[in-house]
Amino acid sequence: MGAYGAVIVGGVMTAAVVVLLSSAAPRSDAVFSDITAEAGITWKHFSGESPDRFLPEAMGGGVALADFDGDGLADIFLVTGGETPRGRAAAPPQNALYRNLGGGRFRDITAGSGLARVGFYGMGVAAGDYDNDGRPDLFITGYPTSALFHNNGDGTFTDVTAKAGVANTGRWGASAAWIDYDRDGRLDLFICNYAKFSFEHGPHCTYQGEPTYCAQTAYEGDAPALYHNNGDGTFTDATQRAGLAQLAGRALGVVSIDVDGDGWPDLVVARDASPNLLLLNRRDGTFRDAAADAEIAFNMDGNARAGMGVDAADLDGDGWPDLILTNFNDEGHALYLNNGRFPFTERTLALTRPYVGWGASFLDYDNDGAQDLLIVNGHLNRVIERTRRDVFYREPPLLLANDGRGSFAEARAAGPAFARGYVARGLAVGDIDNDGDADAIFTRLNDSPVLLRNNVGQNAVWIGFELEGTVSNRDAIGARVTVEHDGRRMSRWITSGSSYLSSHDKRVIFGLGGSRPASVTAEIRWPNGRTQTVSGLAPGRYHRIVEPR
Amino acid sequence: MRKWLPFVVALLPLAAQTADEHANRAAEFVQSRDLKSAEAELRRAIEMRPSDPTLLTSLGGVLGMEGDLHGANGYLRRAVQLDGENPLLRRNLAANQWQLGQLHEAATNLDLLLKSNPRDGAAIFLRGMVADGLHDYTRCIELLESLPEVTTRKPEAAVALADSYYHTNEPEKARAILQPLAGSRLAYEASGVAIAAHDYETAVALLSSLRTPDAAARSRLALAQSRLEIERGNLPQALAMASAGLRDAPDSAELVMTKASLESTLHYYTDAVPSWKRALALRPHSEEARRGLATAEWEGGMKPAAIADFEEGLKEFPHDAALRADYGTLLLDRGLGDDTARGTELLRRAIALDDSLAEAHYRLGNALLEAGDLAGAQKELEAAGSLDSQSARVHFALSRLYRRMGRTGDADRERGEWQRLKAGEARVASTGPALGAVDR
Repeated sequence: MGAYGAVIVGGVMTAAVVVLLSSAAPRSDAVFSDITAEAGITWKHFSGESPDRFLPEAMGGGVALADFDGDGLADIFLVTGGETPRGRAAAPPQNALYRNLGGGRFRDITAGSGLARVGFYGMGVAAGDYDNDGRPDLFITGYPTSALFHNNGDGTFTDVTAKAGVANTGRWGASAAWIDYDRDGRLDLFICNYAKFSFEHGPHCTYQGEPTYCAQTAYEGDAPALYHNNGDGTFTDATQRAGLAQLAGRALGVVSIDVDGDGWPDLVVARDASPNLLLLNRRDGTFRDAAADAEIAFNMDGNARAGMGVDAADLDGDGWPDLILTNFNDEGHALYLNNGRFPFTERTLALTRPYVGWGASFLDYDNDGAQDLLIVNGHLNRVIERTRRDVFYREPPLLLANDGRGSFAEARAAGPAFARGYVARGLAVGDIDNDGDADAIFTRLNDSPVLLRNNVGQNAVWIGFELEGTVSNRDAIGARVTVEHDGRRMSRWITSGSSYLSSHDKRVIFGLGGSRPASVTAEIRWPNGRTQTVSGLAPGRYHRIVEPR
Repeated sequence: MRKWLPFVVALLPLAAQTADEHANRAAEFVQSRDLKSAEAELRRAIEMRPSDPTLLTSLGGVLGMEGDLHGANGYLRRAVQLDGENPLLRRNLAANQWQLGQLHEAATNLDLLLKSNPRDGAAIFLRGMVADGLHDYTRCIELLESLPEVTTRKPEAAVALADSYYHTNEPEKARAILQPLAGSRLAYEASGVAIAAHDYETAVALLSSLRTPDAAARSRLALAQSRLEIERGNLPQALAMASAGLRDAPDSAELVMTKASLESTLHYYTDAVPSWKRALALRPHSEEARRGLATAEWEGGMKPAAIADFEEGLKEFPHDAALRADYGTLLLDRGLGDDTARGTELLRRAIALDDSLAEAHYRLGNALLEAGDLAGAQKELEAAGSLDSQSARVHFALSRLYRRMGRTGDADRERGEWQRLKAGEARVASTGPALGAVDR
């Protein structure tokens, strides 16, 4: 059973509209069920895989979960790759927009949405309300340009790239994140640019005589881009001014979050065989890379790992956001515990060593109050199994349960999808059925996505929040919500980016375990730095909280 | 390949005594290459005159020509015992000892000869050959260079001289001497010298010159070609060469180990494992093969088998530091949490066996750093730094250590050194296929 919506402004409850949404499908004992087929999702990604083995063919596409039509249900947007010189499609590759009909059903509404084709090789997506009109817009990354689509609110989108000035021309954009880095109440845009690339002059590699993708080091890394939102539908390239232009490297994943607790949003960037970045906001429009001080830039040998995905959440209840960065096989996906000081403590997840990890997201799948971890994996090299018995081209996703102190072990009965191999890439998390737990969708290379419905989280007590900024950006990206329950203080952040090429549902859920409080008090630190305390909140439902002016 | 040098044949007497008649017949048989009959005649002669050093040395010579060097040695030694002043007898004994590999004994006899006659050309030649065998390369060069046109008159000398040139860091001279051997009966032997000196190009040229190479020559050519391709960085081609060579010589341990090593380097672990197993079958007591097998099994995801092989290796090679260092490193670096204590213990043992293993000090230091034992980490990492000051990662670890110790200045200095060394590494960035972890 799910519930949606008590609207609170300025700490005073002004309305309570409860929408009951019951899921029609029977629930499984497994944590997650693959409901892709019954949901009606049939779209397939197209990578343009060719004998040339251009690296973009192997990188996959992103997925966004957001309520595009304002009906209270998270919809799905999926990014396709595209054709390559010798990798042609029978029909032109298309992105997909699925409207959430409720009851676990989705309808393809791509046609006429304006999102079907973007005119470039697509990669990632970042959903964010850049013009604060209450509707999530879409930034789609790719090569050799990227594009911004304004949400018209009627199921259609308008390509406003040219006016906005965010085409990122000539560059290979990967993940992107919305971030109000100067706290002016408008979302700015950060883009991970992966590498210098050309379909005309790509390097070519073979493995045991067969064409395969070259190592990333064959490609020269590019600098990220930061676009400042001018508030009039246009953006200004602020990369140089922010001190980011010299940070060339193969950036793939990014999450915007306040890492050092100063109330200003920072950026963590996962880079592929380039040092990861921890861009601390200097509060003057510039950033300082503190990754070396935090010891997240390199492994303990001083080598940059193959960072792909990234996410941040408080894993041990100390109020500081900890980090996960997914890497290549043999490296292990790296977990960093932030103790509020440098260096962070690394706890590489040894059990992840056989996997090539991409999308990653912290989520409290069982709503016990501890942030667990979902990672999707999949190799680049089709013939890897000829030489390794522990590494596979198709790899299962991993659901790792947190013991509440930041130690992880594989979750039991995660579901059949966790015993199957996939060539997975993007991952987005959100509550698609509004039942108070985290569902997920991940993309696959040249295949349909996999939609996972959470069957267990709703059995525990929970409370959810959807924040609406007024002085701050309307999506409240950068806000922190803190709830105390059973002597435990839990913090959740509204982030952007995170995972890989993808964009999550921006609502936050707190699992309260088995004991149901009469009411819950939440402390919200809004992106503009102001703090608000809201009391008397009923568990078992989402609360929409509007920032006091 | 050394052949018995028929110095002794000329000694056979032609007198009319009975023993002499046998000796005469023996000489005729030698002329007609009927060595068995010659041997029988000489034995009959010796039965009649057992203390005749000439007959004894002659029989020794015939046995040597038959390839029975051990049998020859007894007769030659007895001849010298009976007539120690005869340089011919001592020279024959020395020549036989050289061919038997009794180099120190040969050197003693030859030095006696040269002491009494420093211009004894045959003794100079033999002493030069023996000097090469005894790794006294300077002496070898000195002696053989003193003989005019020795490499023309005695091509064996060319091989020894080239070997000595390689060992005294004069590869150009070695190549100049070896090149004329192309197509000769000594080309195969010469190629061995070139291979030992890692001069694979010369080896390939010598072996390719053989008109009708046998299986051994073909497999050696494959080995040289494979190693030449390794030097050129063309590992797949090197692997193809080694594999081709093994078709001619499936029992060549060198080729099998080269192939196994290449497969491991190329990450072809499921191929490398059977290759290392074959290498271990051919060389059951090879520490390198045992370590290669265990490491390939580990890297190929066969961890239980790898652990079994490492543990077997620990028992078989109780004083092998490298094996312990490798095993300990894998346990620490690539194992699970439970493996940490065992990995640390193995690294400590490796260092106790060989304190000069920079890698073991580094790995142990890093493990101690992660465990918060700063003093222990400092001892090990600084030891690693003094053993290998050009290792970027050691400086990186020292930087991390000093920062934790509050020694900011030292930490900054080490980070600077790491960055300097790392920049050098970046200039040779990989452009190969995406196989596994970067920078491994």
